[in-house]
Formats: sequence, structure tokens, C-alpha cells
Amino acid sequence: MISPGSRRSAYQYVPPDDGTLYFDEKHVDGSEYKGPLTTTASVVRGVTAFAAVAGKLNIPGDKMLGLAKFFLSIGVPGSTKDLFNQIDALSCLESNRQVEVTTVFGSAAPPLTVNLVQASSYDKNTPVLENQELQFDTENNIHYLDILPLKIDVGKYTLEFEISLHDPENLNIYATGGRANALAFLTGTIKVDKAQIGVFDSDAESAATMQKLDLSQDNRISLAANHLQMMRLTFQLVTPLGHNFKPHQVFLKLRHESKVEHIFALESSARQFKIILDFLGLVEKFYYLSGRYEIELAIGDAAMENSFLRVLGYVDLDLPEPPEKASRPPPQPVDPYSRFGPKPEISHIFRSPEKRPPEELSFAFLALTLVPLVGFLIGLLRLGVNFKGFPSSSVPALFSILFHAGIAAVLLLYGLFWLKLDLFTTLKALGLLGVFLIFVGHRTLSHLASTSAKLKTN
Amino acid sequence: MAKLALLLLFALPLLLSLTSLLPLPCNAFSVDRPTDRRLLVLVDDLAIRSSHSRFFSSLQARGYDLDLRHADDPGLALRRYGQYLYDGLILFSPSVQRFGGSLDLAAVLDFVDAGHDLILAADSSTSDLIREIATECGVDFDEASGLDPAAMVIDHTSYAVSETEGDHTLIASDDFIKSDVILGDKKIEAPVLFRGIGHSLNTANSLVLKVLPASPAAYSANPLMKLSSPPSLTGSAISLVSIVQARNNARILITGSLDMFSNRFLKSGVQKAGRSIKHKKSGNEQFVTEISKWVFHERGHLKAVNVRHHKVGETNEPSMYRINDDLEYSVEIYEWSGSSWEPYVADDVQVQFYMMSPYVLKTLATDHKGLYSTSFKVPDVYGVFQFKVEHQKLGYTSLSLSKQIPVRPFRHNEYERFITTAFPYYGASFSTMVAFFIFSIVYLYNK
Repeated sequence: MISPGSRRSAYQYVPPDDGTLYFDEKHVDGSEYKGPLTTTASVVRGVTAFAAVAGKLNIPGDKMLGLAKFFLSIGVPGSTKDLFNQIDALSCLESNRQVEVTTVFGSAAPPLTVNLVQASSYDKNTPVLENQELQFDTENNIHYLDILPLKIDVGKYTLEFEISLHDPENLNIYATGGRANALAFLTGTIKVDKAQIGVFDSDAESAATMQKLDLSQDNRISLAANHLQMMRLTFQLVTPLGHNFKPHQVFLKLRHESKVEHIFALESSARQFKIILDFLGLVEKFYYLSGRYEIELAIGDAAMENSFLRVLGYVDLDLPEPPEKASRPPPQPVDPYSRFGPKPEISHIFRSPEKRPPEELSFAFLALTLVPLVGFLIGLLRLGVNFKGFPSSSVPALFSILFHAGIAAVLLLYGLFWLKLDLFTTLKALGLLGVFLIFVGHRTLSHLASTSAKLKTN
Repeated sequence: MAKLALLLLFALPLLLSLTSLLPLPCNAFSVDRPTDRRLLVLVDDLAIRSSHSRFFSSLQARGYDLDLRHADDPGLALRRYGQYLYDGLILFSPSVQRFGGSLDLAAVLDFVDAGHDLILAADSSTSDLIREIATECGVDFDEASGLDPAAMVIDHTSYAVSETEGDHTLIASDDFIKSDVILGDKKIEAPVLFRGIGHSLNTANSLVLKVLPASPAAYSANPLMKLSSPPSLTGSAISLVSIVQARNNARILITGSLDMFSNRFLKSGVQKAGRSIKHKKSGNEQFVTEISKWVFHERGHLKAVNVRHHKVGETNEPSMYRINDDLEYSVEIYEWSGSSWEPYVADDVQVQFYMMSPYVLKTLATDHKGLYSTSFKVPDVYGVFQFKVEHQKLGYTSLSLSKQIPVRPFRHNEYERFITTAFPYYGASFSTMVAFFIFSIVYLYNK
């Protein structure tokens, strides 16, 4: 449309949906990129200045509206510089008298009529209302239409407004937005009616016994079924005006104990919502998981004021055992709190010491082992032992004493080995004692042998 | 020769001054000060600078250097000469098909693998590139919205009441993760506004967490189209905001709503459907501020120092323990508060005495000044053990300490010496010895 100068080339961008319009700088050097707000503001300022000089500049009204919408859609920008740009440009537009139903700066609009040209249901495109003139509330400066007597049902509607000015002179000063579209929701409470649920054998649907459900109250049902049976859920949704209502979200959710979920979207037939779950066909989808399934029903729509998600109850499913090649259920997310909690403490179980007899028993047997020694000593006394064979001369007697002292020393060494000595010290000491013992033993024994030989020869 | 030396003398100061002029490598992300400093913000529309200015200025006020660039700026680079130029990356560019410069998917993932942080915000125009980055982080944005670009999270039970919008895609959610370290000590009273696409978490990924899950009644679909088949994402499986705490302490925040950070959502009031309380201000500002503190390591960063162990009654660390020894183990743990290291207080720090599997697992007692200690008996199994502290707590960086220590069995002379049960044997052998001594005398000298 307008090029702001020879040095910079600009392009315009008009998103087709909301009619905003702004200028953006093309990437020329990238060093000083100011963003669309600054650029657009400078364009507007330039054009206003040009219009002030040239007297009159005929710019189409929708372009002006687009610019105004762009500035207003930003809201309050972050930097003060941007805010200045925004307000400056808007005041340029304002002083050039570009006006919506309220002007961009909110100065009072001239007398005008707002017509609701058409209100049509979003889905069907059939007009519900046509050419209604909106009332004007002078106190609040609001154009409104009282819809209560018009008997419009809840739902989603596209509204088309047309603005016409009363005073033909104003046409040159104000630019109107032409036809404006708006999406409106008329909300209301939807009644859930005739809800029934039941389980029946697959060959006897007509003979099914259905349980009545009251969805306004929180009562739980419990059902049981096997894979040869079916489950049926039906209900009606009625608007306040008695029409059937088809919400956006009608889901039936079956959740197994292991958190595996299955969701079914309910189709609406002529009058009612109905779903029949044939468990035989669903066995594979259910991963052959038997057990308790929670039944949840979620009904919601933008136009429905009482959207809800409700647990209806439970169904205990008895499904066949999975074949070997059956797919495993997908892993379920772990609860983050349990994942991070402290682990249970582990304390080592020590080996228990071996079982021992009571100490008294050991001491009793110790005493018992000493009995033979005592018997031996008593026996010796009874036999009347004497030491008449002890050498009488001094030298052999000395050797005899040394010999027996040596034997006593070896035995003592043995005792010390048991108490504290290690093998090396013991062997060393034993070696010395042994040499000594051989020497004195030989002398003693040879002396004894010679005296006994003398006795024999005598 | 002398001339050359003179020349060198002359040139040396020049060289030194030249090297000092070269750009210094990024020095912010250090072990001692884990908070990030330099952030690269990529946007696909520079209007975001003003529409999201509150978030950016709150970051700047906390001392971050923001480098805001267009996502296809040809000069983009995360690293130069092997050094990372930034500590964190904020991707506010959902619709970008290709990054400019040397930045691509692999570069972003390398950046995260190097322990740097990432904030990724998407919206309904999310490109495949952004999706792939999210997928690599363990988050799958709703696939349906790829085919059908208008798929959004819809919730007919917990939407934000609004005068202008009625399709219930503006969600008010207050089901936050219960973690003071992620969302701050102060409870977020007002619900957080969200409008965007949902994502699900990869169940095989144990590092990714939902911070803000959708309510059980939510679903992801195009609000303008009739639903013929059930949507792929429903209920609490939808995550609105997720975080990843990687093993290398990199932190990632992923959300399907870029608007969450916008000034408009930060400032607007909120009333959740079905509730009478109308909050003057949505929880967004507190939420994004607190969670960005977490992402950029102003909170929840732990360090462990002074790991000590010794026998009870001693102070020196032995090179080896014997089975059945009584030992004491202690470690000091501190938490980064954004400016200093504060003592970390928790009651679930545990130590394991580990060889192939834990033999002992004990919770450490704390003195509330950072010192954690316990004592236990070395098990009666010998081998090479490890003291292991594997502390993983929601929102905190994970601590993983291990110290190897061998455990030996009793030496031959360390067993019990005099066993009562053996007294009869002792008695038998000593009485024999005494008898032998007496017998030898009697035998030799009796006549």
C-alpha cells in the first residue's frame, strides 16, 4: 500500500482472520531491527504529516481500521518507547477521525445503528435470526439485543453485525468496520435424561435388564460381565428448550486397576446417545486384563454450563487368559512423588554365632577329664612308689635333675605356645631345649643303664 | 641473535595486550556459582519482545543478560571455539522451521547435554523442529495438532471464565506439582492461565515430570471440529507444563503455551469455572517467575563436600575395614540459594554400603547445619564395598557420591581365643602332660 521511504522497503501483512494491519521491516541489515510496532507507528506518523501538508488523502477505511486494530491488539507494550510509538500513532489516527463503534480512543461515537444481520448456528449454517436492530443503551454506550424473547437454543453461533451511520455527513469523517463477525456462545444447562446402563448376553439384546442411572446424583453402580457379554449405555441430552443437544465432548472411559485407560467417543443416533461395548471384540484392545474397570463419563461443551466428568461405577470384567503372543499393556507413568521418596532402610543380617553347649557342661567334662589323672596319682600312692633308683652320686643326680627340668620346660613351652607364643618362637626354643635334653637325657639314661647292668652282672 | 631477542622483548607486551582483548569465554556457569547468567532468547516475531516484556524484564531484574534474537537470524551460534556463549536458551519461537546460523536440532541438544538449561514454549503453530526438540527431551506434543493445526487443550470443567471467549480453550489450572523447590515456598493462590497445545510424557523417560497436569476432564482437540474418534490425548495424561531435570543437572521447561508468559496472561484476572472466587491477578506471573528461578538454577542445586568415614572412636580414615567394625560416615550437603550456599535440610538423605547390591542402607541424621552423619556396623561379608549416596529428590539436582573401601575378614589371630566348649580338650591334654611328667620320674627311679 504505502512505502515509507526509498531507503527501507517495507511490506504489509494482513492476517486474513482478524483484519489487523501493520507494517514490518524487511530484514535489511538486522542490526537495528525495531519490530513492527515502531515501523508501523512511523509509517502512520509519516502519512499523517503528509496528509496535513497535502490537505486530503483518501485512504480506504478498512485499512485505517486494520491499523487501529493492530495498535489496540498489542495492549500495553513493555517498553516505554513502544508505548510512546503506540499512543502517538493512535492519536494520529484519532485526529484523522477514524472511528469504530467506539472510536479507537473511546471518544463518543456518532449516532448509528448496529444491525445484527444474521445469527447462524456454527455447525449448520442455517440462520436463526436475521436483521435485528440492536437497542442502544445511552447510559453505558452499549448496543444490545435482548435474546430472551427470541427463543434461541443453546449452542455456538456466528453473529454478523453491520454498522450504518445515521447522519450521511459523518460518512466522510468516520470509517466503519463494514460487516463484523463474532463468535458467540449461548450457554445453558443441559439435562441428562433417561440414562440407562446394562450388561446382557450378546444374543439376547432385547432381554437385557437395564439399570436406571441418575447422573445428577453421585451413586455408583457395579456390574459384572465376561467376554461373551455386552454392555450398553444410553442417555439423552436435552436443552432447556427441549431440543436434542450434541456436545463436543462425549467420552466414555474405562480404566483398569492398573491405570490402563480406554476411551470411547459416543455417537449420537436419532434421539439418544448410545454405546454398545462388545467385550468379545475388545478383548485384544483391553490386553486381556481381567478385573475391575472404572466407568467414567465425560460430557462437555462450550455451550453447556454443567459439563461434568463423573464416575458411574464399576464393571468387573472376566476376560480369557492372554495367548502367548498377546501384546502387553503399555507402561504406565510412575507417580513422581513415589519415584523420589526415600528407599526403605536395609540393615545387614549378621551370621548368627554357632550354637554352643552350656558352659556348665563344658566345665563338668573338664572335671571328668581330670579324673584319670587323679586316679593315676592315687594308684601310684597305693602301689607305694619310691625314688630309690635316684642316683646317689652328685654328678648323675645333677644330670637327672636337669633332665627332668628339661622335660618340664618342654611341657611348659607347650603350655606357653597354647597361651601366647607363636609357632616360630616355640620351635626355636624347642630346638635349644631339645639339644639340651638329648645331652642330659643321654647322660642320665646311660648312667641308669650302666647301674642296672651292674646290678644284673652282680 | 641479539636483534631477534630485542624484537621479542618488544613484541611481547603487544602480544599480551592482544590476548587480553580477545573475548573471554563464558565463565558464569561454574561449580561454585551454578546460577545461569547469559540467556539467548529466540523469537519468531519480534513483537514478543513487547508482548512478553514483563517476563523478560523480570529476568533482567534478576541479573540475567538477555540476548533476544530472531530465530532465523543468520548470526546465531551457541558456541564459539568450543566455548558456550550462553548458559541458557529460551525458545519462544514455536513456528520456526529452521534456525538461522549454526543452530540446529543437534546444536540445541548438545547445548543441553553440556549441562545448560532450556525453556521451550510452543503453541498451536508449532513446527516440526520444535516438536523434535521436545521429543528428544521426553515430551511428545499432541500429534493430532500436527495434522490438524488447531488442536488445543479443551477443558469444559476447569476453564477460565471469560467474557469474550467461550470455547473453553483458556484453561485455568491450579493442580501444581507439590514441590517448594520448583515453585517456591509461597503457595500460588490463583490458577494459572494456559492456552495452547497439550503434550504427553514419554513413559520410558524417568527424568521428565508434569508440573501442571490437565484436569481429568480435559482433552486435546480442535474446538471447531466435530469429534468423530476419541482424541489421542485425554485427561491427566495431558501435561500443560513439564520439566526435565537431567542427570547432568541441565534443566528443561516445556510448555505448550507461549501465551502463558505474555503480559496479557500475567496481568489478567482469573476466575475458574465453578468457583466464586475471582482473583485479581492470575497465578502466571508468580508461576513463570518461580519456575524460571528453578530452571536457571537459582534454587535446588546441591553440592556435597567433606565426605568422611572412620571407625567409631577414631578420626583418621582407614584404608580398609574389617568385617563387624563399627564405623561412622558423614557428608556435608549445601544448597545454592541464588547467592550463597546454605545448609541443606532434609530427612531423607541415605547412604548405602554397597557391593553389587546394598548391604546396608541407612538414613543419615542431620544437624541442620549441613552435616549428615550416621554410624553402622560393617557387614560380615568381605570384599570391595562402596559408600554410596544417591540422593534424588523432586526438583533438586541429584547427588551421586561413591567412595570405594575394601573390607577384609578376621586375621587368624583375631578370632576368639579360649572357647569354653574346648575346655575338656585342654584339660585332657594338660592332665596327660602332667601324668607323663610324673610317670617319667616314677618309671626311671622306682625300685
